[in-house]
Amino acid sequence: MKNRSIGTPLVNLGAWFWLSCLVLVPLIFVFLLSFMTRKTYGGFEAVWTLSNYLKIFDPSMGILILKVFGRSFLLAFVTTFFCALLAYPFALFLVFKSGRYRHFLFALMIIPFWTNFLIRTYAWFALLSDSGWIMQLLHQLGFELQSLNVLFTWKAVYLGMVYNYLPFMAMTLYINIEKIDVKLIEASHDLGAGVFQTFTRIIFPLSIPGLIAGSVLVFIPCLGEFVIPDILGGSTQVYVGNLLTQQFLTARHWPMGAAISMWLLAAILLLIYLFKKNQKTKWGEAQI
Amino acid sequence: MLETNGLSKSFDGQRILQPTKFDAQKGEFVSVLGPSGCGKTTLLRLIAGLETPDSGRICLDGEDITHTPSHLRDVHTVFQKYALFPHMNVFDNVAYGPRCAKQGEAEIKKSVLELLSMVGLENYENREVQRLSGGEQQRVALIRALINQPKLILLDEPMAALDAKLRLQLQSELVAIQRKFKTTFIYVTHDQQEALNMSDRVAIMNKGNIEQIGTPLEVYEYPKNYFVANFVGTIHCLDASVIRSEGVSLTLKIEGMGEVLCESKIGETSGEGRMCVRPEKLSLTTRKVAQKNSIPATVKNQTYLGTHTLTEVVLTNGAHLTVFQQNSERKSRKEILVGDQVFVSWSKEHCHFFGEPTL
Repeated sequence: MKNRSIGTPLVNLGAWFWLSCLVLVPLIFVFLLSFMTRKTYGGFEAVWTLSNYLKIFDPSMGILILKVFGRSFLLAFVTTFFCALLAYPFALFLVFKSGRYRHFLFALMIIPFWTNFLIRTYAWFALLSDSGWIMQLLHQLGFELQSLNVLFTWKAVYLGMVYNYLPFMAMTLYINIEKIDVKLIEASHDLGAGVFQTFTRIIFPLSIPGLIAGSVLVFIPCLGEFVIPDILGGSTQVYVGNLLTQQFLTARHWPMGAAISMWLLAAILLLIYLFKKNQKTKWGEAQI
Repeated sequence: MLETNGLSKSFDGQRILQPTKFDAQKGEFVSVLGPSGCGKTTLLRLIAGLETPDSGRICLDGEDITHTPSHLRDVHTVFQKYALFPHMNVFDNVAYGPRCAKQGEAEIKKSVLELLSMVGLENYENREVQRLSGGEQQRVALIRALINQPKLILLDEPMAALDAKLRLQLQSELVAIQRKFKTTFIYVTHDQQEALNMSDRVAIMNKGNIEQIGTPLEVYEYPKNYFVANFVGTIHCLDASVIRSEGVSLTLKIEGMGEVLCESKIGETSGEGRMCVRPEKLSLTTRKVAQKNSIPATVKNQTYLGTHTLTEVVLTNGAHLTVFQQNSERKSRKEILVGDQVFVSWSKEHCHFFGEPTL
């Protein structure tokens, strides 16, 4: 609220400049592309058509696209949910109980980021393969390796997704919960609320913006993820990301890929619209 | 009703609160007054149960609550910056206590609305707390603490964020509410005017110790030591030593000035120390006054302030004193002018002698 007027035009100009360069122009390009026609040997030409969009109503292709969309949304939802479920207690612990180990634990969460994302994913590949020590350990404990069969299934994909996106949720939640004024928690205890009531009435409601921000941060990239399903799912599972890479790189049908992207964008916008419509509290409104 | 005994607390090896004895009676308004960092807030937080004491006991109505968790104590706090819950409106903030105590919603609604109208906040129940002014926030915080009718209400400098005029108004409102509810209030402040104005008793704290507990008049007129005398109100102190003592009556020699008489009520009867006297107890005359301590001085400066006049004089040993004279008569002409030779006089009952602090 304060000092909003100082330097505002300049800041606005900068923001708009980057916003147009990084979001608006590419988006317009993809939008235009989606109405174009594929040339015989890949590439595209400005012959305008709606056929790319109408493909979704074509029985065989349409069902495939919808299935992939459904699978991707499910993956993104479940990943976000489990990230929140695991990160929330961790963030709570970090803020309220970790004491002088707080920075150490926070660093532990960050350190994996210093390793390349692909390497981390391949590490899971190694861990989950039949010769990896997790499988070997389970085998020693008497499990049948055939029946476990994690790698190259949806199980490995979900595991890899939650693992990779967990820190985003944890960091966002930590930063949010850490901001909660200790005085409010003391006031709650003082007015007769125990630990549980203080959590449900004060800490949780005040952390909802963090939960929303973290969910957006996890959900949106999850939706477009194609590397983890490729490596850990062994291409047995096609998600939106894979479909798009296929269209752009393998089939070399850029306009088709662009049209699918626009359908996906529409689906996300619809989702956000529905979410905001049902949202009653003012908290988190600014977050999306 | 509230009694603490030998209560002490250290943070990071530093004693913030020395073992202290403190008490408050039922329906009493007790202020804890002291400079910042004197441990007054720590004392309050120990009573609220927001800190655990290193030693000592806290008793409320004869029941030992030293280790009772905060939420089970019949004690509510008005926090320094109010700590109103930002995600709730005024109604939900005030209703927090009774809801935690699982009271019926209808009953809660009735008492919340009643309290809101009592403090002049009718129709405020749906307002967001961040949109309220400082004074309104303070009232909401107060009734949020009052609504469960606790035995004890603690107030941690609740007026610190408000402007001076509003503060005076809220002081009288606060006292009126306290009298009405007959709840015990413990009010922490560094503002002595606030403490003297509202309290039945004032506890003066310094460096983790309670130096004196007494009525406002007691701590002002009969300070037990130099710190209290110097902290509450204004007081002039001159280096002095005892040359004779007969019971409470002391004959003091002031450095470079001569002898004065002083009645010591605190039992200091020998040694070096300070003779202290308040500005309003001094009088100025052109002749020596026989029945009082009376020493020569030169008028240095005079300030006329309507209700009173402040006259600054210099003693022959170079010490400066300010004399407070109430302008109870209209005078067309000043009796004493700058540069005049005068006598500063005070009676022996009105001055104090404090020995050198044993630090």
